[in-house]
Formats: sequence, C-alpha cells, structure tokens
Amino acid sequence: MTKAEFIEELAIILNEDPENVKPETEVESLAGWDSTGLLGVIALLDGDLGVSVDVDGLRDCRTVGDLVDLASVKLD
Amino acid sequence: MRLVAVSCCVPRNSVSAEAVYERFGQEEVQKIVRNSGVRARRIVAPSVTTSDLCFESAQALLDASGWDRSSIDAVVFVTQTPDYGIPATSHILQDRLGLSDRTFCFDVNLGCTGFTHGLLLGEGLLDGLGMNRVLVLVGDTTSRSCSQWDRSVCLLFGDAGGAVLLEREGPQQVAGRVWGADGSGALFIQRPASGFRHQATAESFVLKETEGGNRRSDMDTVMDGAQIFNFTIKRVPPMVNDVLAKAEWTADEVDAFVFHQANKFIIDYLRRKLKVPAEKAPTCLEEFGNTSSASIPLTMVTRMREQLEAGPAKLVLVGFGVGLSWSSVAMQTEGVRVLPLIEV
Repeated sequence: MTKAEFIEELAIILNEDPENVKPETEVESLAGWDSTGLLGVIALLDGDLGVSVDVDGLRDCRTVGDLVDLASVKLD
Repeated sequence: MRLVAVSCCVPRNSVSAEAVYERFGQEEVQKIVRNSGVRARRIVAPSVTTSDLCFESAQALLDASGWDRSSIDAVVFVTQTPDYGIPATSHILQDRLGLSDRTFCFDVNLGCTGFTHGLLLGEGLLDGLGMNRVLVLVGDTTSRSCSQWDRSVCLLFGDAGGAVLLEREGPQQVAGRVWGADGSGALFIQRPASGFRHQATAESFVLKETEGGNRRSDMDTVMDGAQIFNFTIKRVPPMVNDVLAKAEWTADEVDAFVFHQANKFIIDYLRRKLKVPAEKAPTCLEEFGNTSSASIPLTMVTRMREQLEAGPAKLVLVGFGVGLSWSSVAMQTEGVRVLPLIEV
C-alpha cells in the first residue's frame, strides 16, 4: 500500500471525501474521527498493514500525517 | 468432561435501537448500530437480578435432566452483577435450587470470558476434586450497571442468564484449552467505585459529563472500546490457532466457532482474520446485544439448538474481554440437550 492509498483508505473509514484529506489535515476536523472511526483505523493498521497499534499513541495523533507516520514502516 | 445440557433465560422486555433515537439522535444511533450490529436488547425490570435469570435457567435444566438434585456437587456462578457484595450469590442459588448441603459453591468475577473460564473451572472440579456433576451458571444484568446516558455501553449490552450441566461420566469431550490474562489492561472495562479501592460516596452516584457528551457516574460501567478492540485482535487469533493445534484439529473440520458476542465489528474482524465463514460463526447479538458471560450459551440456545441436539459437533468456544482475559475451549459435543429459550 502506498502513502496515497493509505490516506484514501483513511478517508473512506472516516467518512470524508478523499479530496479533503491531506497529510496536514487535523484529525479532529474529520467527522468520522470518533470512537467508531478509531476502531476502523486500528483495523486498517493491524489487519491490512500488520502494524501493531498502541492506542494511546494513536489518540495522540493530531494530523493525518501523524497517522501516516504510524503506518510508514509498512507503506511502499 | 461431558457437556450434558444447556439453557438460557432472558427478560421478555425487548428494547429496540429505535427506542433511543430521542435520547441520542437517530443518525448517531444508526451509526452505532451499523458498527455494533445490536438492533435490540433484552432489559430486566429494576427488581430482577442475574441470579433470578440463572435460577430460571437452572431450574428448567435440572427438571429436564431428571437428575436427583442432591447429585449436583458444585455450583459455579460467574457474574459481574451479583445479588450482594457479601455473600457469594452461588450460596443463594444453592438454597433456591434445593441443592444438597454438600454442594461446593463459589462466585467468579468475569464477564466476556465467563463461559469459557467457567467450563474450564467445571472441568477442573470434575477431574481435580473427583466430582461427578457440576452446574455452571453465567450471566449479567449489565443494563443495571451502566448509565442509560452513555451510548458507548447502553446501546450494546443486553441482560441474560445461562446454565450448563457438566458431568464427569462419559467420553472426554474437551480436546483443547487455552487461557490467559493481561492485568495491565484491567481498567479498560471497569466500574470505578464498585469496590474498596475507590469506595463509593454520595458523589459516586452523581452523573457527570464525559467524552463525547456521554454521562455516567462512578458506579457505572465504563469501557474503552478502542483498547478492547486492539487487545482482541492481538490476542484472539493466535489463541484460536493455539487451541486448534492443541486439539489437533484443522479449522475446516470445526462445525462452529462460537465467539463471545462482543459486537459485530469485532466478530466480523475475527472471522476475516481467521478465515471462518459466516455460517460457521453463529451470532445472536443482533437480537440480544452483548450479553456478557451468557453470550455463548445464548448463541447455542437461540442459533444452534438443532445442530447441537442432532449429534456430534466440533466446537471452538472463544471468550475474550474484561480483565483483560481470554480463554478458548475446543470440544466435541454429542447430543447436547438444549432447552428452548426461557423468557420471564
């Protein structure tokens, strides 16, 4: 999965138009960034990419770019 | 150990997701339901306890078995919603059920893993203490221990009480066992003021606004769903593979994987990860919610009755959650007596 594909997957999970999701986008501004969205992001990281998730670290993410950083070791 | 018979009791009162549209908003409730899969839950009246539901289950089971009640050697009551802090509710059930004064009674404080841990404890009593017949009772009335203004829990949990009869005589049905614990996540599901660490005061009963506009008091159950999901996807798939290896079974030869009915999102995820087809992973959460330790027997009673009564069935039972705890039992049942669902 490339970085762009990862961001697109994030957008789908968080119910946003992929056009509106950029690395600098603040996660709090995304409508789907709530307890349900968090589960989807964990599933994406763990299930699709095999990234072991630290939930506190995930909650500390401020931007989409921070989420990309969590996944970066497994991105093409 | 042989699983002889199983029964379950739920309150008749069914509360649909639609019924709380007014409280949380239709769109929000629908979003939660899409994720959780819980369209309705059974809710007890304020005077009904878990032991009342388990009593009905056990009473029907003992009547149907035709066994002399004095032949029951032990009662294991697994719950997080006992009648009292003191005494253990298993003693109250021993008396109500008319069991002998030689009955070994104790309570176990577990939810999600309550049934699988309970089976393993039952097996331990039969094999380790040489008992012949053990009654394991499981259940919770979680609706009474969570805030009706906290949508992270109150739309998820339903009330139920189940009972199983275990016997030493007969073929050994358990082929594999796995269990584990990780207390570093102990507070991910908790009732903060339910014990002596933070003993309840008048303040503990006050509803307070928390994250996402939910309101609950320190007497209510609080759950960190993301932490629980994260723990589950790390621990459960390896556990299931481990129990299959211990049983020397392949996943294909298993007739049913009966998961604790946590929520649809988790079960779907586990199924995909373990490559278990939907028809081999029956669910009842859509109709009853997450019924804590009763969720596996409730699935057996409401979704697997014919299959279990008909003949041999290779089952993998999978519990995970509060504690944090996890356990799995691989067992080949043979003509289990499954009573129809009891509604009170």
